[in-house]
Amino acid sequence: MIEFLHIFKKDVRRHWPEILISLSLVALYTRHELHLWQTSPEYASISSFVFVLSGRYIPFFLALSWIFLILRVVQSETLVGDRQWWVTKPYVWWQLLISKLFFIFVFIWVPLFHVQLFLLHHAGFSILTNLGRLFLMQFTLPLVLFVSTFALASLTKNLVQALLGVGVVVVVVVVVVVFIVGLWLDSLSGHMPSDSSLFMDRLESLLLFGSIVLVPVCQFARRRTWASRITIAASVGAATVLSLIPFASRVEQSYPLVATKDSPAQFTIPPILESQENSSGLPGFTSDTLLSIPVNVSGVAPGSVVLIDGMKITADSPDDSHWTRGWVSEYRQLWPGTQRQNHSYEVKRKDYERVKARVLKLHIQLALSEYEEVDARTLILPAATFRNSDLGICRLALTGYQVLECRKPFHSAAYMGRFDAPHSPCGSGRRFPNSSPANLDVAYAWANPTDEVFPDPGLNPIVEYQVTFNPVSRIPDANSTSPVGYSVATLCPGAEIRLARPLFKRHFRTQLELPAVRLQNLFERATF
Amino acid sequence: MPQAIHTEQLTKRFGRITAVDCVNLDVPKGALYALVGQNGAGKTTTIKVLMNLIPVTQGFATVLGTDSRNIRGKSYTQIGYVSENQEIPEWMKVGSLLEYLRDFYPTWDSALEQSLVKQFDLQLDRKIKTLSRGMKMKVALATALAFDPRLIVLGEPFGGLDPLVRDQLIESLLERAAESTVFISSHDLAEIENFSSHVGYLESGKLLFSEEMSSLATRFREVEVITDPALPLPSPLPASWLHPKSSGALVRFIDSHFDEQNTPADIQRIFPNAKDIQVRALSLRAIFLAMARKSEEA
Repeated sequence: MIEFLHIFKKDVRRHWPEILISLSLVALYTRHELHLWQTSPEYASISSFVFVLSGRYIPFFLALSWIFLILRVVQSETLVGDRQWWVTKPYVWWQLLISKLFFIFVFIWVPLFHVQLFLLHHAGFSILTNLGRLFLMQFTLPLVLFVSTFALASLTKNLVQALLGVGVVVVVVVVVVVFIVGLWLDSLSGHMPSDSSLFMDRLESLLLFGSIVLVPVCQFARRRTWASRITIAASVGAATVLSLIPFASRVEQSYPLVATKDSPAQFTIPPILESQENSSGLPGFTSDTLLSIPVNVSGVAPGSVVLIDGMKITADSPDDSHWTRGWVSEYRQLWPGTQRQNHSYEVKRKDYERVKARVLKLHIQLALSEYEEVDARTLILPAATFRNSDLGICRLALTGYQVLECRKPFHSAAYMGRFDAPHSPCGSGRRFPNSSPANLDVAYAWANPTDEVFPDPGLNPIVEYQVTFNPVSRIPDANSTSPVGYSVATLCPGAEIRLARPLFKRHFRTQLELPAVRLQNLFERATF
Repeated sequence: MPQAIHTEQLTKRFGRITAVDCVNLDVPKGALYALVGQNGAGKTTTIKVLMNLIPVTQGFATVLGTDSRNIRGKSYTQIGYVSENQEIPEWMKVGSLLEYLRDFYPTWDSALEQSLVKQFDLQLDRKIKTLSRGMKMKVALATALAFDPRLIVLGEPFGGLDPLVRDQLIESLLERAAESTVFISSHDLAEIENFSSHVGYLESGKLLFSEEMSSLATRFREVEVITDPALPLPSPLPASWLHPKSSGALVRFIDSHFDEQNTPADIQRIFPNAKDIQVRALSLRAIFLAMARKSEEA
């Protein structure tokens, strides 16, 4: 018999209880996903509610059973130490490696793949047209999970050592994160889309993933455990160093500064009211304080949206002291029409306390992205579930006023949506105090364009997402300081919505100034 | 004679500790070679380096003509290895283990397997984890012998075994000795003496000697000289005379290079008043004790 099959057979004989547990969890997972599909979100009975609730943990336990199975099967011919019986038997290392990979293929990957095919088919999507991306999907979460567990198993002797290994990794990650947060707050805005950060991210991923793929292979071939462990540690170190590269300059390179007149969105800051209260900030158990900057926005062209990706505030005081917390991420959409937005900005409590009563000059920089709509079309919402080429299969949410529930293979859709509430047969929806009916007529929906080729990481190929039409708080006068009202748009069968695909246009950066302000007047009380 | 094992300046260090220190060793094909020494002398480390279980720090070794750094996988179709601290798959039954291993060896001899099972009184349907230490060792030895290996390497195989099991293991080894080379490490000198053809002595990682057992037995002699009148020990004495002592008219020493012609002549030259000379053969244990004491004195 071929050697790898011989070893495989032995492993099956030995690990059948673990295999059985893993397959049972796969079956339970499949049933749970179908159950959700059929009854969500009504929770028709207590038992189904309990099932749905417990089902949240099924993917976790499923992943745990796979991790356990991989650890057990790889460690049954442990590669660590020199007292193992098998190392003085005529095992060919690559046959042993193949036998372990084959085991994972047969008892983890194949069942998962079949479940994915079944879920895809059951959700009403074509298997044939989605097969390619279903294969690609295997290179996301499952591959990362399997490969990293495989690497861990090849570097540890038993489950206890593996747990210790996980502990060490967790400690290292925590230390690194704390270290990064302590030194380079700018890195918190790492998710901002920029080419340079993407390159760094890819380099880090390549380094980490390359090492966790190559190290187990070397470990099977040579069993030099410490060399392998040092290699992994070195790649983690190198990735950490890469992530420590200051981010601010990269953000500023990716988002070129534009003159105010060239900005596709115009920003003004309304007069800041003098606070009567000498606020001492948030209670002492937090080291940060939030500032709230009111900004009026106008000038966004129809058919466009401007996203605020990040914000940086620099403060100058008359005594030449100067501080900044660097770039922090934001996620705001600016739509056509004049709007009022409050932007929160976190500052160190001790910095705040030091300068809160002084008159400061604030320089506010915003990192922005502009998108415009393409392929815009009107959709009249049917009462039943409907199929849309961009959104997937959708229905009106039964529990929400302004929400469409949709399902799509591999990733949620990118969209720009607009809903004119007064012109719909649905009524004007719930209205909240101080709202002015004339200004609350439009709700917008937005989802960022995603990587259309690579599926989202996950076990289920069907991504469930919501298209939420959020009302935009418009104000009649950009210089108004009056509170802004809002209402919730209501969708119903027959409502007309405008849908388009967003097309990225450009990144840019703009700058605002508050010439004389006390931070205590910007103190955000509502956040606590 | 071609060598089954050959080492040149073989050295293994663990940090600052030198476990094996420049060992030059030759094990002839067909030999039953015993590597002996005290606990911590470096016997197990030497075997692990030879079997490529741990990397060599310095020097060079060949096993059955193959560089020891390349001993892995298929090399073990010719090497049967058993060590007292080996972790065997205890979840398996004895029969399943033998069945599993059969496919790995092109030279697996099922008749020999049956004979070993019978000889060692192995119960095929017993799980290995339920077996005693001696029975586990028998199982390991059966798996190491059933494929007619050209080289059998055994690390401290007799440790903690009762005499009956030990005798069975030795018997089976001797049966194989004609066809294979046996390399065995042990500190059980009494056992080794009975069946080894060659012996090497390791002390603190250094190989103090390595030779045929018969030559060793011939070379070492305890010598007693009676002088009249009694005299103090002359100085210097030949370096090969170990632990010389005098007690009145009696002088006693161990000659590590005894020669029937030259040694009596040397005695007569050094002790012209010698009245009587008694020469006695030494047990392996006595030889090693003498060597160990010499090493300690040094």
